[in-house]
Amino acid sequence: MERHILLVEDNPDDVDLTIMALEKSNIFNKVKVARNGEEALHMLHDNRGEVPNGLPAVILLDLNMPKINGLEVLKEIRSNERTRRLPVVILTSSREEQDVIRGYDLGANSYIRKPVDFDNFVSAVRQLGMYWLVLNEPGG
Amino acid sequence: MWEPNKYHIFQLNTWNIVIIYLVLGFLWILFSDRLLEQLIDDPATLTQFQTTKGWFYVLITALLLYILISRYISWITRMRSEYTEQFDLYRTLLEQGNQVVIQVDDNQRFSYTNAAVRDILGYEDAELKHMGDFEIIVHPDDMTRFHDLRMPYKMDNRDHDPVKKQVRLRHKNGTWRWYMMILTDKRSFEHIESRLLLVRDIHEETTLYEQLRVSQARFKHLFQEAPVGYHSLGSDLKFIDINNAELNMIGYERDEIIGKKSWADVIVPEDYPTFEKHKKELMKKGSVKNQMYTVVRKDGTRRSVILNGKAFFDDNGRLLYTFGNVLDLTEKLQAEKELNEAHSRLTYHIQNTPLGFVEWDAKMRVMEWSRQSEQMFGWKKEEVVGKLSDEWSLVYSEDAEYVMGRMEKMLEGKELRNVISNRNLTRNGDVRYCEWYNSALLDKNGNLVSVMSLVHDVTERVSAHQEIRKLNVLLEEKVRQRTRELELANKELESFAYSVSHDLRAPLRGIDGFSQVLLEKHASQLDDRGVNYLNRVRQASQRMGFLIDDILGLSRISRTEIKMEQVDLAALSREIITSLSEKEPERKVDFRSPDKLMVTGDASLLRVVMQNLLDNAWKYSSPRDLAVIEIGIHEYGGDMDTNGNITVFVRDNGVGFKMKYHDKLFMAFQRLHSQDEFPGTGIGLATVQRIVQRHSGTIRAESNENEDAVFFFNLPNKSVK
Repeated sequence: MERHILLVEDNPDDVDLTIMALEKSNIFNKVKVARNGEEALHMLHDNRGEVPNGLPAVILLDLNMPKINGLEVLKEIRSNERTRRLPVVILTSSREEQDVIRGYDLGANSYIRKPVDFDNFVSAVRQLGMYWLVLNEPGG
Repeated sequence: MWEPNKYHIFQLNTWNIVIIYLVLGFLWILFSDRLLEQLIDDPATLTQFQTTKGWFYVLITALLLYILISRYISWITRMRSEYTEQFDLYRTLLEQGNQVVIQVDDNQRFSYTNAAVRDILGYEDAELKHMGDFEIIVHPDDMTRFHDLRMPYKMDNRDHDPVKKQVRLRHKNGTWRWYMMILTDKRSFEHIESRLLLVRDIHEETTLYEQLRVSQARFKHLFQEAPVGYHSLGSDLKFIDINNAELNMIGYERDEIIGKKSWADVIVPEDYPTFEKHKKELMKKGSVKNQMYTVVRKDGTRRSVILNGKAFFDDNGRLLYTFGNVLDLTEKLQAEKELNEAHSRLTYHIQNTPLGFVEWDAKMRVMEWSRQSEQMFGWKKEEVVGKLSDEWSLVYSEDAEYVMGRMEKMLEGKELRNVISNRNLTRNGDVRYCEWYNSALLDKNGNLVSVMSLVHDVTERVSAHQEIRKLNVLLEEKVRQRTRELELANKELESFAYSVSHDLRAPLRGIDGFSQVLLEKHASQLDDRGVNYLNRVRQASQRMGFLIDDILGLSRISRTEIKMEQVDLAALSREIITSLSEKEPERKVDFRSPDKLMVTGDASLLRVVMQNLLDNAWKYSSPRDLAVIEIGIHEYGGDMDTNGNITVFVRDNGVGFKMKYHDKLFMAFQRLHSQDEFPGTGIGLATVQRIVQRHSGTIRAESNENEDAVFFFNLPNKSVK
């Protein structure tokens, strides 16, 4: 089964730009989008704790979201037996030190700040996709 | 009166009278008859005349005989009567007298003893006669003297003088008493008929005399050795006697004084009038008492003395001598004077100290209560002296137990001094805050004599303190409130900065991203100008991204904690210059720096400082063919900065700036050059200044426009622990 990407992002512009950047980087894996933290957690587990559509190859997680923010989502992912080894890349506008530290403390695999310059953004997404989808060997 | 030898003369004349009578009778018979024979011739007449003449002779002779015999008989009668009287007198004397009279006969026997024997010696007449001698009742110590007494009559002494000896005899009652024994001859016409032994009881007088002798010796000793001066002055007021103490006092030898000096010679001239006055008083009243004099010693020093004098007069009221005692009061007066001075000084201080003074006895009754105490508490001294402090409400009732507890410790001798802060009540009921400084006065044996208290009314101070405390509480509350507000503001700022970094950048990314998508995917629908505009949209949004980042950086500097450590600015600068030249390898830049440039500060913040300053230097020197960038320590006339700070400079030979704008350099978003000339956000120097300020340093800039620009900043030269 093709490995998909879970993009957790509340800003539709960023969703589109991220998808365009992935396409521009020739990464054509399926991208599932969760519009907020709650939705992301739903997509990872159903009520019975089952994973409806299989686990994503990588989760691209925004931090600043309504309802349940990115760090809480990360905490939940890491505390669940089934998802705790999933690669999670924080992809956010924030470069606040406390966010970076908390992100890594909660078990983020990577922390990437979205550049304003679209060219730079594309370059970042390309490298990210190459690493996590191609090079990286996922855990069990 | 009859004298014994008259009688002798009479005796001798008896023969004379008889011879004179015989001679006269013979002459009468012989010559009268011859005369008659011559005158008368008639024999009858002659015979008649001769008979008449015979009768005449007998008559004359009878007359003379009568006169003689009657005179003699009259004398004998008178003598007899007188002798009888005298005999009675002597007898009475002998029997009633107070001395024993013993007649000792030639055989050394007591032939007569008078009645006084019984009274004086206690022995009966018979006992004494039986004794025959006194030897067995003579005190052994006096035996020699007793033998001396007997010696004369044993040796048949011809000396007429009576012999006297004092011996002790044992009285019948067994006591030893002193007796005077006088042995005398009883003579009649040069013949020693017998001896008389007279024994007189002299015990009382001997004892008295002995006592007198002892007491005199004692007096003499006392007089000489007494610590008080004694002297006696004669009628001319010159010394006739003086004791050692007084000699010491006036510093003369005895023989320089006795009979040579008068009292006036040893006193100061200023005392002469007093002396004259005392002399009159002495003559009038017989004594002077407690008179002060200043005497001058032989060596000229002076002593203060007190004199008591008494005068002794004869029956005619003439001064015989005086007797005086002299007390040296110099030391005492000096000590008294010092004591008085000390006392008056102390009194002065007590009366004038702004503190209240109270003295308590060992039972905590008021002894002294100074004027200030009166003013402080409103109670007059006479109202409180002798009272216990709880007899009138001096101590505020809530504090009384505490105060009493502390004072009891002092009264028991456990504390010698203490300081008690308590509330007191004044007479009209006001509460005063007082500090009591109490100390205990002990005598030599450690018994409490009194407690002295100095009272300081600190009511004003206390209320001032309370006021200050109130203000402090208010102030602290205000500070807390401000701090809360500030914390709130900081939080708001932080969340604002957080939002800025997130929420402001997201749209920019959209603008830039979609513009790019347009340029790539829909370029065919745009003409050149449209493409150009879209590029400008992208540039603008990117620039805004930088601005936002810089603002965030600036705010982060204000918020991050500084970690002080040793930082080598030279090494740091070399790294930065290296990375700059890698970006623009075509630039020719001469970078000058010391090998090391050690300062104290936060390494990451100082990196930001050097990054900004060197970026600027790099950027503004870009028009030069050969750029020169220099860093180093700025020295003020060879010295360090007065505060011991290190001043670092960064110089470049770039375009510089107009000095009149130098104060705008460090303000955020203020730029002295256009974006076209030199790109930049206008945040860099504001950030640098903020960092330097956070290191308690300052920064300034100097420039000659189009020649150079120098930035100076100083950092505290603290060593890192």
